[in-house]
Amino acid sequence: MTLEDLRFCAKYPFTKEARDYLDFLKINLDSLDDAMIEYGAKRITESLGDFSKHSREKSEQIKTSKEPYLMNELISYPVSKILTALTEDRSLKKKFAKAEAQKAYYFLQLEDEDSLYGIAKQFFHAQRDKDVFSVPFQEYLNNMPEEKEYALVNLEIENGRIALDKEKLAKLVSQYVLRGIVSAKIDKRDIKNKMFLYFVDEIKKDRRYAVPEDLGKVEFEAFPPCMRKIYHELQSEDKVGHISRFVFSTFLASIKMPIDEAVSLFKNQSNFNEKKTRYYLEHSYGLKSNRTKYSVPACSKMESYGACYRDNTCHWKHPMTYYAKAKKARK
Amino acid sequence: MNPAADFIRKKFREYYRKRGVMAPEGMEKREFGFGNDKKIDYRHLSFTKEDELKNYFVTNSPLYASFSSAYYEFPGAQPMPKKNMLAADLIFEFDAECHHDSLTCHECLEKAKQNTQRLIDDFLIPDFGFDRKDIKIAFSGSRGYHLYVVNEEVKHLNGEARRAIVDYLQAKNLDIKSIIRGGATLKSKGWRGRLAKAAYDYVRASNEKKFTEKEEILKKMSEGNYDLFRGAHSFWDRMLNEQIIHLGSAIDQSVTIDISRLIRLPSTLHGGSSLLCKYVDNLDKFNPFRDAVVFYNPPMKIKFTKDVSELVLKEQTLGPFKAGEEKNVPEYAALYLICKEVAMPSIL
Repeated sequence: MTLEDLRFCAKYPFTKEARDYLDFLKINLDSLDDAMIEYGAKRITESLGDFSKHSREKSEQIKTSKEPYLMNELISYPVSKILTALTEDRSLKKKFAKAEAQKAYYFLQLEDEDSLYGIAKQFFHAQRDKDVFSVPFQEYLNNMPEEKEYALVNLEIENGRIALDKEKLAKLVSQYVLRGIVSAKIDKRDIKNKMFLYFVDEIKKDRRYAVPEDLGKVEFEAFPPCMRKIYHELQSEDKVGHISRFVFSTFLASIKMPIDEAVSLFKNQSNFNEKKTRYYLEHSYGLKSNRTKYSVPACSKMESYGACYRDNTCHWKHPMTYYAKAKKARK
Repeated sequence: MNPAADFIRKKFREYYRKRGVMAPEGMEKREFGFGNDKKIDYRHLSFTKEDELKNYFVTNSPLYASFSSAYYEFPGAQPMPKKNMLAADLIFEFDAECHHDSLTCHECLEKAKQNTQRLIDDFLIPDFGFDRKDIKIAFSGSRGYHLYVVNEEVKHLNGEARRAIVDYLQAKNLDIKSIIRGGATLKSKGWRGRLAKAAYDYVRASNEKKFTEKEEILKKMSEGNYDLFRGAHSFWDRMLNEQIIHLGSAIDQSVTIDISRLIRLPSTLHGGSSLLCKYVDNLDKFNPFRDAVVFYNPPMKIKFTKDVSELVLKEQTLGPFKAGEEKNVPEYAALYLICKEVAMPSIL
């Protein structure tokens, strides 16, 4: 393998070429030394700050560095991916994924059409007609970037295929990388090398992330209009629908209202049953068996539930943002 | 709850005993839900054999029956994450938002029908490339139609992807400026082409004075030059509004987006109408107030609890009726009116 081949693998550690090379070197989970796992952990924690800046710096290093650095970059990618999966922390996974995707996008954009197409074909049923590429809409949608210009409405679609220029195809590939990291799941029991678990704890301890914003005392006056509406509806005897109850309970959990207080908010309902209400709330608070703590739906979701009551005080994409801002403004 | 619920259930039972129900494709992986009081009183039920499903209907004769668009490894497990979703059909719902007096409003259901047809002809086939044979249409048994896309490729679209499709049909986030500036032509695909064509057709058919140099304008438009329409927001809004698929309320949209939703099970009766929820082969010729009526002709005496304006069922005109009045009407009409909670069986 030439230095440039290795550089390719370091730029695109998610490709088949990179995996094949690791196989060739017989590098696998059990053969990794602690230093490499630590390097993988560092790769994650470094991406948790200003990831844009970090990605830029990393990209520059990969462009100019020699073998040892490139080798570390290549090997630490799968290590980091496993570590993030083991944290089971969605927001951490997302941040790391964004940093990796941004780095990939940076390099992909610089590739010529042929190389980009070669990489894209590894992940999509891509086709090419001169400088226009296309992918099946299903594959596009499952990896769609969030920006408005990537919305399906603003692209050309015909017969199930979406036309993309070079830049958009590069972005799509990077989005595939992002999704791969976010959706990766791994069972702790399958990890024989316990150093992985040690570093997962280290990452979690890292204070740069997961500083839960302590929102302090619960203030009804700072409730966003959607939650205020449900709150008022609950005061009447008219039955409040299931989905409203559900989102309200996720909201109460997020603002950390004591659970007894939360239960009492439902007591005016004609079909109030304390035991049941408490059971549901405990689920939302993540106190029940599977410990999944449900998060408050974003405004777009609320809209689709028919539960959005945006008024002119509400300019955000998430009910929790409204609450945090309103609380701050009241101070 | 409908005060005549027991009576309706008895009639539904007779029906299910004779005609049974059709197990949906992949039945053993689907979740089922049933209701009498509400549309869904209990859910998380599953069936492994067709007979089991039929027996359930004969024994319980629920007023409402629904099944999941999703396929699960453990459809009966709860809470939801334990079901382990494997895939889901892609479904669209068109409900007629009827504010008319008539209990059998043909006009509104016709509108839902047109929307359904337009979705297929203008979007699902040309844009998304679906095969017509993978698209099934069902009359919901009440106010609208459900459209199912059943093929392997859509089964694995995630919730976000489904939302993107809904947004697409409604042209949400469409960047009109880029269409005007970016020179969309009649040959452009997707929304760019659709809007370019709508504008072109509009100008061609228009007699408005400002389009006197029509040929010149049309020529420019066909080349992607929309200088004349810069800043003409109301013009573009009008073009857009004519082209979008009106999926109705947010709730209707959530049928497509929320994969864990249950939908009316075809081949079952709708407790709010007594009509049959059924697959429709020829949408054009389908008349729900004739083709989804399954009960019989013998007369039955009912007492009206509300005023009822004229209605048409099985191509027979009935009514109007006054509250308090007792009348003999065919059984199918009796059941329809009782399910609509405007009449009670006289025997009760």
